[in-house]
Order: sequence, then C-alpha cells, then structure tokens
Amino acid sequence: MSTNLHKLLNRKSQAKALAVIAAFLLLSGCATTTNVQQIDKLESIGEDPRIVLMPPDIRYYLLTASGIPEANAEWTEAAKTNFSKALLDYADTIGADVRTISADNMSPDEIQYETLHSAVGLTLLTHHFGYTKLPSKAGRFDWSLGPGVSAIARNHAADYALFVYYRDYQASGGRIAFAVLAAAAGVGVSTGSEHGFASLVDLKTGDIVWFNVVTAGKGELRNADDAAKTVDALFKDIPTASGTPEAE
Amino acid sequence: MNNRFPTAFVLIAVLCGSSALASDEPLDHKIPPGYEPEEARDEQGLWMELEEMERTLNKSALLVRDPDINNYITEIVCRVAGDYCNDFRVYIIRNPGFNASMTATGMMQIWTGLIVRANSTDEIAAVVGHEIAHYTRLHSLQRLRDIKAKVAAGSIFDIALLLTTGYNTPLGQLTALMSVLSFNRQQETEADLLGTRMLAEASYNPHASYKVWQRIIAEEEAAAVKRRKPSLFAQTHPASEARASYLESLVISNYGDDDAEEVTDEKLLNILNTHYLFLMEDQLDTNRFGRTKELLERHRSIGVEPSLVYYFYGEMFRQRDEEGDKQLAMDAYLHSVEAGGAPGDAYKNLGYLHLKTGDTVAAQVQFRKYLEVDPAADDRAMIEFYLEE
Repeated sequence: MSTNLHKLLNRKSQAKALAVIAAFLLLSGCATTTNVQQIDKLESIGEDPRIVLMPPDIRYYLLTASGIPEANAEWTEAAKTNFSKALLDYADTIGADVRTISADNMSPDEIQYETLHSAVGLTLLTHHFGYTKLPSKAGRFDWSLGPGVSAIARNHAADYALFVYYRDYQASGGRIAFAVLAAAAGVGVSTGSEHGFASLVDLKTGDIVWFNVVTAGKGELRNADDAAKTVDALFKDIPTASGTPEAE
Repeated sequence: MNNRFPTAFVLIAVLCGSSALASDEPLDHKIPPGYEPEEARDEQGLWMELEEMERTLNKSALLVRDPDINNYITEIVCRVAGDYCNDFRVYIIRNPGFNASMTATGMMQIWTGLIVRANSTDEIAAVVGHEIAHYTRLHSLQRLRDIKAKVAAGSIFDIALLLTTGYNTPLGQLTALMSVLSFNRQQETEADLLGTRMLAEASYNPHASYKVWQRIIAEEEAAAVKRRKPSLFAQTHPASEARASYLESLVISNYGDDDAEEVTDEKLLNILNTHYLFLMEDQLDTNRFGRTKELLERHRSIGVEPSLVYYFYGEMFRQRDEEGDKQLAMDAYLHSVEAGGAPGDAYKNLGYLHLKTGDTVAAQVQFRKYLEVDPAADDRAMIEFYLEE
C-alpha cells in the first residue's frame, strides 16, 4: 500500500525495514524451527571461551497513522539498556564470559561487520528459513561472515562474537483507529510488528555457529522484566563452555 | 456516483493548498545557531537515526581524510554559515557524482564530484549555501511531518471512499504523493533563494549560484549517453535549466549584472592541481566519456596543470579504445610528458601503447623515464623485463 511512498522517502533504513518485515512474514507462515546450532559447546584457545557482544542493533519505531514508521529515541534507548543488562545477567546464570563493547569505540571493520551481519541474517531468514530456498545450499546451514572477523578477536581477545538485530514497530492510536476503519472496509493494514535475531559467530572462521530468531509476541524490550523474558527466549539454546544450557 | 469526483477534487485542493508557498512570510532562518532538537517525539527520533548514521559515516572508507581538502571546504562552509558555523560537521565523500547534502543534525556531505565540477570556489560556496538553507529552515523535519500528515489523510480518504461508494482506488494516496513532491520542490526553491542571499552576505559572488547549474547543463549536453527523462519520482528538484534561469534573473535583479571577470581562484586551482589524480580517477571510472571529456576541456581552460589534464585525456582515450583512440591517447600522453611534471603513469602507459604498435625502441625510452620519475614503482621488475628485450 505504501510502497510508492517508501520509494519517495528514499531512506535506506525504511527499505531495510521492509525487507525484514517481508522476511519475517515468510517465516511466520511456516512451522520450521528458527534455531540453528552448529556446535555443542564453546571452545577457546585460552582458558575460558570469551564472547564479545557487539553493540546490539536495536531500534524502536512508532507506526504512525500513515503507516510511515517514526524512529523513537526514548524507547530505543530504554530497549538497548534493558537488553544489554538482561543479557549480561543471563550470561552470569549460564556462566558465560561475555564482554560488551561500546558503540562509540568500534573500529571501521567492526562497523562494517555489524552491517554485514544484518545483511547475512536477513538473507538467511529468507533463504534458509523462508520459502525461497537456495538449491545449491541443499538445506545446509553454512553461513559465514568470512575469516576477516578475526580482527575482532584480536581487538577484544575473544573467541566468539554475538551479534543482535531487533526491530519493533508499535502502532500509534491513530494507526489502530485507521486499521479498524480499514477492516470495516475489508482491507487489512499492518498494526506493527516486533522481531529480531541473534548470531553467535566463531571469530576464527567467521562462521555463524548458532542462530536464533525472536518473533512477534515474544519480544518487548522497553521494560526490564519483559526484556529479561525476551533474552531468555532468544538465548535459551546458546552453547556454553560446558554444553547447551538445560531448557527451563 | 455523482458526489465521488467532487469529493476527490476537494481533497486535491486541500492537500495541494496546504503546501502552497506562503508568500507573505519573509524567507529567513527558522532556527538560531546552536539549535538542539525540541522535545518533539518525531524530531528526537530523527536525530537519533541521523546520529547513528553519522557514527557510521565517520568510519567510512569513502571519507576523504586529507586535511588540505577538508580545510578548504570547511573554510567555505564557515564563511557562508556565519554564526551557524559550529552547527556543522563536514564530510567529504569520494564519489564522482555532483552532489552535496545536509541533515537536520548538521551533518554535511560534499561529494568530490562537486569539487571537479566547480569553476570557482564561489560555485562550491553556492551549493554549500543551498544546503545550509535547508538546515536553517528545518526542511527535513518539515518534510517528514508533511509526508506523514498527507499520506494519513490520503489513506483515510481512500478507505472512506471505499466504505461509502465501494469504489476502491488509491486516489487519496496518489494525490498525497503529488502534493509531497510539490512540497519538496518548493523547499528546493526556498533553499535556492535563502542560499543565494547567504552567499552574497558572505561576499561570495552570488552569480555563482546559477553558473554552477549552467556547468551541469553543459556537461549534460556533452554526455555521450543522454540521461532518460527524469521520472515522476526524480522530479523533486527543479530541472537544471529552470533553476539556472530563475536564479539568474533573481540574482541580476538583486545584485546587478556580473561584472567580475571569470577567473578561477588560486585556492580551487591549488586543490585541483594537488589532488587531481584521485579526483579524476573516480570520474574516469564512471566510463562516461562524453562527460569526462567536457570536464577535462573545462579544466584545461581554467588553468589546471596541462600535464595532469592531458594525462587524463590519454587515460580516457586508452580506456574508451574506439577506432583511432590509440593514436589520440598517445598524442595526449605525449602532450602530458612534454608539459613537464607528468605523473609517472603517463610515461608508462605511453610506453605500453608504443609496444602495442611494435615500436620497442620508443617504448623503452618511455619506460626508462617512467622508472626515473617513479623509481619505487610496484611494477619495476616487469618494466625492467621490457627494457632488457
């Protein structure tokens, strides 16, 4: 409905938003699992395997009556804070050594890998979990960010990197009123969505060794309690040094 | 049936009317220097996204970090901006296109393609003035609000029409779209007008504001492959011709005829001469030979070092490689090396062209000169192999 307007807006973030929504729509239509695990436990060349948490790429939007999303700074800020805290708490409970790096201190390479991760993640959602499977992959999960990521290992003395992507579109009152009106006319319009994914990347090879998706209804990061629930759901199967934590 | 179309016309009138230029409002800056976003939710969100974008841009491989070029452009920006100088961060982007942009947060991007297209520092200042005017008039935020309001109104109209008449059409949305486009064009005109005023106030030549567009028109005419007619969506800017002509009459009526002699200033010439190789390499890589040739002719006439300009003539003909281009390329390289101060590659590429025509002796003469000019050349071993033959 608003495709033409997106063209007009010419904003990369919104094009990306459309891509991810499309990918998740594909996902929600099929019953396959969204968790992929390539390794049983973490390994390290040092004493204990260390994970570096890349600055989570989280953004909240208000879906306005027009259907055009409006970035919300307050929600995004709260979500980033809540998410990082919940993740570090969770890491403690499973005994994982997770270090965070600040978004202000990233090297040019690290910024590029964040962008690459989003691109690879969205691609594999479409082509691994979605309907448009790639015949040459034959169902294999061999997605990688490439061995260049070893630069991140050197910068942070880490064995693995955890990348997180999350987008949340909350409908405004006006949007909901419009949706009701549209429904009366038999037209369905979007009233928001929430979705995200996380990848654990082996910094020796760049391979994605663990991947999970959080879909609609499971994610809400604006308050601490819900953020903790989202984090639990997202990371419940992440491998640790002693193996995969028991599902609760 | 009877009342459908009148309703549509009312909507069109409302949407278009709301964007008509309020001519009684004096055209001035809307925000003070050092502006911070208001408590408005949409403005805060816009700033957050832009600040994130700037963090990424700061680390971009396409940023030109050379202090010489950065100082040159920042000086122009500060002179045009006046009291607003500290509101801006200038980023010079390696891109051969003609463009500059400004965000609501004061992140200004200048493409290197603008630098190679200017005949004077004043012309760069003219583009800078236009961009600063977008900033001080809060255009990005207005545009965001305009789009949201109009699309919401248009969508509600479409649904209401569907509910009341059963007639399913995107008429409201299309009308909104047209209205948004017209609003964008109007902002461009505002930025032209205010930008020209700032240019004159900063003692740059206001006539540069339309001359920069005349250059673009000249380049367009020289293009080997003409650009297709711009689509509806691309028509957010007034066409170059219209822009050049209304700016010209405006500037002449406000500031009189241009009595200044057209001489390219030393500052711009110095930048072009010092950084010509990378600036023009990007242009050459576009493979738009008609345009590149027009730029080279212009650079020759404004006084860029002939050895540099002819080197790129050589490169252009060599890469185009049409009938007769080999000879044209050899002539150009020869011009370049005879002018003195040619880049080493002029000798080398001339040498290779001699080799291709079978003139090994002439090739070796040029290869020897190449190694004299560039003793640490990466391909020294290869060249020495040809010298031994």
